[in-house]
Amino acid sequence: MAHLSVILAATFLLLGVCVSADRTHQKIYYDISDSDFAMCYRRLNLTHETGCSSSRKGNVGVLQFLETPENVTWLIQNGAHAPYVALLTPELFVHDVIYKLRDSGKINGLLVIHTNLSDYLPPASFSPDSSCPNEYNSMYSGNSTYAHCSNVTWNPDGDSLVFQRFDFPIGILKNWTQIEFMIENCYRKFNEPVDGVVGPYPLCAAQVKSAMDGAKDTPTCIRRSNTITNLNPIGYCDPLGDMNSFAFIEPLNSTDTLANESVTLVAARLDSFSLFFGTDPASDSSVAGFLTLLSVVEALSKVKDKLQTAVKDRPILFVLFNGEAFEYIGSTRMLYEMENNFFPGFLQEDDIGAALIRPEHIGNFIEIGPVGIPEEDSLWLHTDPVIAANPSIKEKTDYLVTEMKKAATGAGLNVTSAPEVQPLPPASFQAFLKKYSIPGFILTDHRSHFQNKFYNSRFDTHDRISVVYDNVPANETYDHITQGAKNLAKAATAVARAVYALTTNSSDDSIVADELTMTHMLYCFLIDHQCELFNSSLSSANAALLEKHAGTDPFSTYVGINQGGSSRNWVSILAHGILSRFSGETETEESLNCTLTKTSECEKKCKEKNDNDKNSYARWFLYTWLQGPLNITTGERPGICVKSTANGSVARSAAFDIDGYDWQSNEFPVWTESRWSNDAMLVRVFLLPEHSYEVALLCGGLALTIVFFFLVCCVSKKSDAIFKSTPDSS
Amino acid sequence: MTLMEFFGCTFIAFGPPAALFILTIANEPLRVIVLIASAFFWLLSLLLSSIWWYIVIPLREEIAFGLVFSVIFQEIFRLLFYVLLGKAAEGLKTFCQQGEGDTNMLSLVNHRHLMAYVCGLGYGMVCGTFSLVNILADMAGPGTIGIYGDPQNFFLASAFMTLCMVLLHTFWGIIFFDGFYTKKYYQPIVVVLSHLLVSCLTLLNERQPPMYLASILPAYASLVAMGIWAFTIVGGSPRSMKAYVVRES
Repeated sequence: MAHLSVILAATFLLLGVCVSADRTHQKIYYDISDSDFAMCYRRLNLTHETGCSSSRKGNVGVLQFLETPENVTWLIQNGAHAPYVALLTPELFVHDVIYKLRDSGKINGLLVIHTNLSDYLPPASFSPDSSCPNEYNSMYSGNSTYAHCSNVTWNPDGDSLVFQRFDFPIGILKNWTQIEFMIENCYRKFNEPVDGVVGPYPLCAAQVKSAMDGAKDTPTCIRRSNTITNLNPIGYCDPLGDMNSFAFIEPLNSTDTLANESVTLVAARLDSFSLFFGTDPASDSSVAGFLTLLSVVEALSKVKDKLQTAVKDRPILFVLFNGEAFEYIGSTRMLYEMENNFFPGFLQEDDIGAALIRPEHIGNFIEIGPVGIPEEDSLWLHTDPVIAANPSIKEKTDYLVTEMKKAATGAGLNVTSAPEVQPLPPASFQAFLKKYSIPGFILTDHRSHFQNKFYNSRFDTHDRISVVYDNVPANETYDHITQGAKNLAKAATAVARAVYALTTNSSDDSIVADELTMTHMLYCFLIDHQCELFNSSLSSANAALLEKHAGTDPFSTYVGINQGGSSRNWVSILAHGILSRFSGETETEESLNCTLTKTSECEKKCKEKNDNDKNSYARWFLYTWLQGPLNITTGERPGICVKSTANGSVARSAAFDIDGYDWQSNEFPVWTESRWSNDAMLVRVFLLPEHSYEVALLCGGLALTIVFFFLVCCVSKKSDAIFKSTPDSS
Repeated sequence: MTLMEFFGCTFIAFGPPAALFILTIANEPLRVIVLIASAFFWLLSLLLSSIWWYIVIPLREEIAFGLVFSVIFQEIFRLLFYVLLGKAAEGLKTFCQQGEGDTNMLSLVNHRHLMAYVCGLGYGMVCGTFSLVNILADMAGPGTIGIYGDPQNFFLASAFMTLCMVLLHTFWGIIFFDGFYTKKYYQPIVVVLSHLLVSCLTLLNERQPPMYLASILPAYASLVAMGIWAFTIVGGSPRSMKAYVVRES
């Protein structure tokens, strides 16, 4: 096909009407490459559709660069060439301006500059989440005192942009060269008003496309997707979801059922979101929290021997919840599984004495929330005022808090109790507390409202949590211990010691979370994902994918979709890989019965071990073959077989897995993401011809044709008279 | 949207040929067949040009090289088609007589100029289609040319150039065939030279800024010249024309 098009292109050169070897297309359009923009997309919930969608062919509008509020006013009051596509500075892309532009009816699309250039700084605060995140699935939603954040507005900067519906596409542009072209060669050259007057046509226009398939709401969309109209079923939306990861310090004793209130659950959330697809670094929103949890796991695994007997009676369960930003998808699902006796999933209810975990088995709930930006140089403990009405729960909660504070003091960390009259901030813990009274606390960096002024947004970058590498040579950044790493490691040390104390009733000051490990994790998750830690914590297949993954942008923390399988997004894969390594141990050559130089043989043995060990105790373990650390002398990765209790459970709302689920019951979150086709997203600029020129051209063409018809008609009727030729004799 | 631009250019380039086709050819099957056969021969010349361009790798970037050879191939295939028609004339006659004996059909075979005109128009129409269709396809989208500083009238120039080529091919066909029939061999030579001239003039469009008028004006000048020549060849004269006009009025 390529050859054919080359030949065709060449031919039309030969015919002499083209000016160069390019398709005319390339002379008309300036395309923004796929990797250099990110679009706002569509999600559906029980009752609404949120996010943006363009028309099928994309929205076209005259490009207008808005730098100052005056520009915005000018466009709304004087802009005479509607519809417009406005190119905004990040500072202007805030709630008020967006709504003003939308309500003017002159806007057909918005583009926002998103570079790390100092010319275009982010606004002072920006959060597209609601000012009361997860408000409708909150444990307080029916509570007269605390409902709808009436007591504390957790996210005062939240403007709920993600939960709005826009009829036009909105996108961010990430490549400065392309933005500059748009501003200089498109806007300034053709469209910029001179003394308030826009120059003559042609004007420069932009086409912005993010055409979404899903519409209306989740129940409608799922019903449409399930309607069998032909042999090739088409879906319009997919449930949000991924996998939760969990791990134990030691496997549970499967011959006994667990005692009530014996399990200590340490949790953190994995996901976040932003208005734009794939651009949600979530440094403080989620990464700081789950990295602290991973660090706790590592620290406690090192003292596994001392914990071994204690955890038989008081197991420690570490959980990384996914999908929490969307009404606690992961924690709600895990709770559902616990209630229905299939957690952990590899045990069955009819297993004799299976150590199934039910919600009432959970005795302590420790959640690590956002901990990256300590307020008043302190971390804060939030407890729930509602269940504290029960004296025994209050007593247990107080004990937990005391132990945590004690451990924190030992680790040199300030930890303070948040005001007791305050409800809990948005957290997975709420999904459990909604139904069960469990003593516990949430460790955060904020006293009342969030410290993070960019909660769940594209600006929640590494520098917000003091992970900065000013004046550090490029080859030393990976090992450079930042202030942020120190803070988080300290928090991890405190939590690890508190968990140890709660489990063993004794303290151990030798437990220290490794700063360097924290440094590596922060670097990999927030700065550059092509790094040693990631490569060594992945299977070789995934490592190959990682290598192909373009750019060094942080991986998206958005939960993504789950179509029913056990697929994970990158953050989930990597966090799970690291959790496996930290919670488990590497099998030695002897235990594997192979030599590590023969990698494939060991890999096979590792896999066999995973498949064979089916007896009740051993099946708590998973054997995973990972790339492992780089052998410096050979430059190869011989691979490691990690034996770990780290496992996954589905983080997808049960609403999609229960037959005949009643949507209106509102029991489970029902978020779905609209599908879109491969060519659904596009940004390009080009010129628009003047209307009168077009009309003239069309009329001219028509006139020429009509005149010719008339002439030919006359001449051909009398051709014998005009052309005095006789038939040939031949 | 530039849909109006698209239709405007389509009408400019293909309106006049469409008028010729609909009013003089479409209602007579044999003429349609000859027209399609002629178009097919042009396509064969295109295939050969493409292969030639593809083989000679070092000169692929040189438009002038491909252009000259393409013109030569086109003219060779015009000659080949002339030879083929000569051989097929007897068969066509038989074919016509066996049928209803339609005089119109016979007239095509008997009037060599009519045959030459049909062949020329077939040649021109397919040539025009190929030269403009890619541009037209890109024209329908929302944008017009110019973001990189290219002149706005590119589409218009392309459309007029295409129209010119279609009509030129028609006239060339008449002159070329007549030259071989009457053994006035200077006629085909003039056709080849003027084809080369017009095609090479379009190379001027490559310059920055392109000189569209520099190629279009000479092209139309030669169109007028060729038109007059073809007119006289087929038996027209100022007198007959005048007589016609006077009678009509």
